[in-house]
Amino acid sequence: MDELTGFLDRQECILETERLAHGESNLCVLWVSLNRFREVNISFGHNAGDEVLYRLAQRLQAQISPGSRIGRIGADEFLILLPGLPLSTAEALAGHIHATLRVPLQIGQANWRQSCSIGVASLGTESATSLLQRADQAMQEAKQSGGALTTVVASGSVHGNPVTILKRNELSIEEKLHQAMETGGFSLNYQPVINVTDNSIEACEALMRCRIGDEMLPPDRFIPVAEKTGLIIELGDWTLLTAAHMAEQLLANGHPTKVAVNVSRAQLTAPKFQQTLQALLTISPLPPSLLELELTESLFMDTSIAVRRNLDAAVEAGLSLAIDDFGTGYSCLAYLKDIPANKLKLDRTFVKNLPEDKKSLAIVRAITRLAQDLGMTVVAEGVETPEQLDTLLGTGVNALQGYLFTRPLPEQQLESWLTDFKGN
Amino acid sequence: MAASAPSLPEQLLKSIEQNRIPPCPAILQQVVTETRKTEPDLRALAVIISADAGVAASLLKTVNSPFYGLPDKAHTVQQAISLLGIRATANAVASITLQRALPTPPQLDRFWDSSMKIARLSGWLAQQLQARVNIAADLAYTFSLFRDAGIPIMLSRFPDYHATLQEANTCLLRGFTEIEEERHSTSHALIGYLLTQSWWLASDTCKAVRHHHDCTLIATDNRVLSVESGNLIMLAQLAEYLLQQTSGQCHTREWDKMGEAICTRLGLDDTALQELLEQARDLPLGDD
Repeated sequence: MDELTGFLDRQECILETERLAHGESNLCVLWVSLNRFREVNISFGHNAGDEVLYRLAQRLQAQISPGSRIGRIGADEFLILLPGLPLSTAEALAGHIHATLRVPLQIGQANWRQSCSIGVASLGTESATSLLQRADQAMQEAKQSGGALTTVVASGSVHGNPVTILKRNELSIEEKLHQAMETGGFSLNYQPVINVTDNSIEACEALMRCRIGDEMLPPDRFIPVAEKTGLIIELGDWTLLTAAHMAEQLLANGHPTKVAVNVSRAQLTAPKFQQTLQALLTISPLPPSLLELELTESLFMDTSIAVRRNLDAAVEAGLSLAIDDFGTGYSCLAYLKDIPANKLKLDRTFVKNLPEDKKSLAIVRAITRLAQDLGMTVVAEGVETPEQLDTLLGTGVNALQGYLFTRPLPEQQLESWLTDFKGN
Repeated sequence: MAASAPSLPEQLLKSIEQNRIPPCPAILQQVVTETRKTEPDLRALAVIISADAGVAASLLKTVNSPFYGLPDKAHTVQQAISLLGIRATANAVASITLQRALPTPPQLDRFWDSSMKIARLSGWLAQQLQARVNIAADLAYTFSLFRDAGIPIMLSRFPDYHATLQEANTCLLRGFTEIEEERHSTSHALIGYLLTQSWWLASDTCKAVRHHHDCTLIATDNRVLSVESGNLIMLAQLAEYLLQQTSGQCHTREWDKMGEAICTRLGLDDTALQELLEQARDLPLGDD
């Protein structure tokens, strides 16, 4: 028995794994390694280190269900044996362990948040030693992946397979997102949309950016993970709030410009979307008409009550709605007459091959005409070359957006860009 | 303002100034920016805080109170920071600047008095229940202070919010925020949540503010609330109950709605609760 924790010691861990591997059809193991634990010993001394280890061990113990076994397999490493439980339970437990260890712990006068790396493996047709080896290897992989709180699920063989790698990437992005939330890694960039009928600013679209240390996570990698994990709701609320602040600031500084925010299905179907929007409008002096929600066409065609009700509430509150990336979904034209949007943004795929692509040009013309007849403003996205600009000007679209005018700008540069634009 | 900018009507500008969500105070913004660096500089942090004599003095007063649970007294801002650690310093500065930033008409004196006492009791409870909840005292203190920060804002925006509060405080059958939402389409919890988000408080704190009246979430294991958010909510609610019992202050029915679940989750039986109550009676809650 390990003296400090009362858990199985290293030798007992191995014996117990062997015993359970013989007797159980299902056996999962979690190899939990405390990250940077050496720092505790160095900064606070070994007595404090032992005390912290004991308290962390108690937290681990509290997560384990009866029938499971826990051991101290290394100085700062624990082994959890889950006989008769499926891999999904082991993975869920890994999540709980990350959460419980992260809760700050007071060491003397400082707060310590313990992170850990976890390797998970389930028994195949192999020996107990091989099972432990795979769990250890998965833990090492988790550690090397750099995320503060990572779980790697071992594959069937010791060498890993693509499924494992995929899972690891996803988990590590999720952890990076949590990290970015804690450290202010999220920011918004703004890309102006230029109204070509009167050379004014039609809107500025807010685009989320995520930076962790020196690494920029591209939106197409982190947004799907944020949507899948539900983090998008918190992030979405933050985006609306930050964008509203920006619009307020622009208004107060003489740029009464709409700020457009992308809203996802997860947000629109989340409870309290309306009430959060109302909270925003209660605390912000911003005229609601200066806030625009951009939604993909499939959301407008969603017949679920929650989505409908939330869209109606947004319109009733005075916000404007835009159909984003039009042309990439079903693009059912018949729906256009019923949806409460007053702007249609044509997807960049129609612009990309202009002026050569005559078919795209014909579509742009036709949709522009139709949408305008229905009272909508039409925007073409992804304008990058002067030739595209000239062609689009001939189609009658109202507004354009793209790198030809500017890349998305950080908050600090937006105002001076708008001032320069006005001056020209 | 840009020279070419059209001048906005005076009234609109004034309305923007008056109705703005209390912006994140500049000092807090500077503190948070420093704390979020890869290598935060404690001396730089001390310089930022010391530049505002009022905040510096309040910081020492706050961290030296028994409710923060620090083992030593801090005599200088730098000492306070090294005792507290970086994150807790940012939380302390947020707590100190909150009351300055929110509307504070005299009729809110009692509200602030209760909030402050609940915050102190929460900090004390975090220390008492350390083994069960693992929440740092400073975090419990900060959360409890921000928990109802939406109330002064609701009061200043909705002339009839007093009546709403009265009903929500006395109604046992319906949720507190349900009553607010029915009358004003939003609630102090959501407003407080957006406030904490724009003040850059930790994500768990923001979520706890948002959900602190959600009895069902508090009573069950779920994926919406982290363990930490749930514990923050429970500590503050228990603190509110202790304040009600010891001083008669703060009239809500929230303990009737969630007290049982909280006691179960915190592992408190009647005797343990009674003991906390007895100890709480002797705490100098009114002292700074």
